[in-house]
Amino acid sequence: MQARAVFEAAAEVQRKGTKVHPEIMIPLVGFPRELKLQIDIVHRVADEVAREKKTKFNYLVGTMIEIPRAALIADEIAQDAQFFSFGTNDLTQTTLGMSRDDSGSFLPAYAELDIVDANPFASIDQKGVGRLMEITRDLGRKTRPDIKLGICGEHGGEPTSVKFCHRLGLDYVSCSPFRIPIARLAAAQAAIAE
Amino acid sequence: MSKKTKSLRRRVRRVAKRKQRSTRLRSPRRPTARQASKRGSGLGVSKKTPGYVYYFGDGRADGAGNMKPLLGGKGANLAEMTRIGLPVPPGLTITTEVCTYFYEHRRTYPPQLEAQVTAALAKVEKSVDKKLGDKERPLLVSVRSGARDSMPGMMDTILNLGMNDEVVEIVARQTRNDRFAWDSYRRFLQMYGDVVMGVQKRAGEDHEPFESVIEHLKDQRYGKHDFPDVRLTVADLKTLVQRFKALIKERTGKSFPQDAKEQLWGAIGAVFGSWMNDRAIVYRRKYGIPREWGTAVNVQTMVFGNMGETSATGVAFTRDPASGEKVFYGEYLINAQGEDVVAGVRTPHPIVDLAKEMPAAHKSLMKVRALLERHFKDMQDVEFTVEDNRLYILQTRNGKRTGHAAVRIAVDMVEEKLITKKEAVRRIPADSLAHLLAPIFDRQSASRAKKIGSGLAAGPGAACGHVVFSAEEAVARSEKGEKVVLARIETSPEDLRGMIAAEGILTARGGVSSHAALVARQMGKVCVCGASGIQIDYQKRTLNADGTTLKQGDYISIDGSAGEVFAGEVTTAPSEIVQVLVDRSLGAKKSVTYQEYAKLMNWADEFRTLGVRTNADTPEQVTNAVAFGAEGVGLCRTEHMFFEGDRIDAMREMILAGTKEERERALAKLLPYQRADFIGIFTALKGAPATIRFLDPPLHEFLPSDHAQQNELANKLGVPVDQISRRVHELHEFNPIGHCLSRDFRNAGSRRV
Repeated sequence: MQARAVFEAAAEVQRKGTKVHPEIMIPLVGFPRELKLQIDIVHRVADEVAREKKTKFNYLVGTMIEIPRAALIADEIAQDAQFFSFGTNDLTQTTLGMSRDDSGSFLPAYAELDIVDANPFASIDQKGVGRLMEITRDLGRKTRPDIKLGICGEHGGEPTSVKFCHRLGLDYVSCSPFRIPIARLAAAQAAIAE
Repeated sequence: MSKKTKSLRRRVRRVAKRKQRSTRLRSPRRPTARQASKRGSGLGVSKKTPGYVYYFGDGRADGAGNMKPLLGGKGANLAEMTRIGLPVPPGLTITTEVCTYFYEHRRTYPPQLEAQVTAALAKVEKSVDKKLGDKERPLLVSVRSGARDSMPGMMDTILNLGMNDEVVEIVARQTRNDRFAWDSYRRFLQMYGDVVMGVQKRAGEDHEPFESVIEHLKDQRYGKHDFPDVRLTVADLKTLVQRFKALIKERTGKSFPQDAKEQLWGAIGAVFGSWMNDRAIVYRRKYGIPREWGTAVNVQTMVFGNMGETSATGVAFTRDPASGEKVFYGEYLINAQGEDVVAGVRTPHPIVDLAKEMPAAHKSLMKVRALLERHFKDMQDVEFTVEDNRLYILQTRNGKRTGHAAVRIAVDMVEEKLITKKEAVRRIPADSLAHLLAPIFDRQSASRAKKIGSGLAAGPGAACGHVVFSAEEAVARSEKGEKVVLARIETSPEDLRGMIAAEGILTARGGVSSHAALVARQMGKVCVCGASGIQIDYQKRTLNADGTTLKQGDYISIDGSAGEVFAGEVTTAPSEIVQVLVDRSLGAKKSVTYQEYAKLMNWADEFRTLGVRTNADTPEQVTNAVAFGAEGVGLCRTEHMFFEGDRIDAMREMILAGTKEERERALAKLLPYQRADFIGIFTALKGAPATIRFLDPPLHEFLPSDHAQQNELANKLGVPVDQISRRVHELHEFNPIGHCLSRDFRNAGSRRV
């Protein structure tokens, strides 16, 4: 139903002369076959709608990287995924084994005791989560050199994390509308710092 | 009085306290561009002797601003200010190497030090035509620490050094101010006795010994020990001086040294010694400052802003630190002594008045302003004193500023060709742009309001409205055109419509990643969350905090930038940038703030290589994001599309469906809604890419959790309530790692497309 809604909408908007580039993202994939089954459905529905509406779609199908297993086998996942988007909220939870909702009760104490420098849910834990992102980048590009890489966690609007994403060589960061100017400025600062 | 004025006042007071001195300085000579030798000074010391002492004064300095490791931050800054021609009271800096030597050699000095200090001091004395301990023209100095990085308040400082039984009389005569002279002397005794001679609180004592003496005298003479200091008479102060000296003798067995040179060496030793005091050690550990760095010691001529109507003391910013406007901004007090301000007796004057009251000093200050900005290429925060119509600069540093000011100053400075575009982009803390986009409280209005609580600053900006405790009430009132602030113990997706309707969101529970905080960020809503001091009673529809009770409909104001909650009405306005870009209620040409913002953003885009997209779920959010410069959608969460209006019913039908047919029927109802949303999003994007995440919610979030709402839903859908509560329960149990994680993984995986 979701794929149909996307492609029917795309056909409608294209008909009015506006280009559409949907990038369909399958969430939470840890097993390549799990992804493949879903991607097959998307392709099937896209073909169906294209035939029905007599049009063509310029679209990508990819996945979120939000559990460590997905990061570690990113080369296999990239066989089917045309892009990766780091869901760093969940990737942080699953990597640290720490619930975001509960973290408020002990993170302040951790900061006080210098156990953590910053809240890992606000600013990317570069050593741990960041390392998984590097692995994902390298493995993903090994299979698919032009794989598109982005981040869509809350971190995408936090300046330190944006700068980290720049150094990592991601294609884009994504953040809430009101944080876009901040991300643009932080991205420029990262480029200047090089 | 505004917050800014208050903080300025505190600063004026501090500066005034710091600069009490009594005699006249000779006019500084023009600066010379003499190069600072890496070591050694113009003191006639042969090149082979290490230079331990650096002189500054009369436009010449042995040191320079880039010598922080050797001279400490303060010493390097004093040298730099002197070098660029600022009127800095002359003095000398003893290097951090001496501190290192001191600790490596059982607290002794290098043999060359004494001669070097004597030589540099002679230059200071010559420059100001006064001598330490002189019977005619006594010199008073301050002795201060100065590490490479500032360690405010951690080490010892001694002011008014050079005071003794004879000098106090001379100072009193020269300033025609007995009270000032004797008060300076008693303060000096107190500082010196404490810091140098170690007259401090002993184990078992509740009060500082000097303070006990003061209280005792107040008790004796005025019958109460909290009698204000400012009302002590000259006779009282003279008695205190006698008693302080006796106290020092009694506690240490030694007399307070009348000899100024002895005082000086005592003070230098105490400042070096304070590098290893407990609080300095703790501070260094906390901020990772290595002990090997050591501190420098600065000995500087004191200047006083309280020598009569021709003296003043103040603080100034070279541009407005709140708005960034290129106006000289600051305050001063004529004939100011710290106590005048402490007692709140006098209000500081705005700096423009100085032009009338002290034209010569004002003219010098304007020159200083231009000089500072040309040299430091940034807005400066300056502390100054006028002593007998002569201006002295005591400190300058890059001024702290609001987000608005940061942008405006950087952009203006590019246009003034002071800095490059690259530097402007580099300099502005990216986070500070949040201030530019947030609605703001009227500052005067906020200072009058009653603060009743605080929590996490989760959505920057200011919101004010009638407090409501349910989403329905928020929607109902907002439809009537009322502004509301939604206060909940915590929020859930059920509250979404109310959250959208509200100006701001206040929760008593939940952190930065709670539902409320997330929604606030997504929508740019003002939000204070986790304000744990606030009790919300849904039944009585009241909010209790800090002894104040607000009923539903009462005015409340929340500041999501500071995390503060106020009872009553504080007026707000949307940021101009939002008015131009989102509301389109303001023309770009009419807003300076917007124009400066737009320039900065264009420059940023010239350097930027990383793409920036938005997380947005509705056509409206996408339109706003594109206005803010989004180059596409990086995350469109389809589950958010199922919460609005009737959609949630179809969604619940789908979840509760027992058979495939039922589920497909429910899905067919959802399809047109979703398609319409996507059409809106694609249209708003004008060809830019959109990453759409297929459904990934914890499904139980779509079902009501409390029994009453479950009943209501059962009636609406015509299913038994048991079925609903069972399903909610099942969906909870599906979570593979218990309550550890917030997402319902298995569900997300099983019902995706």
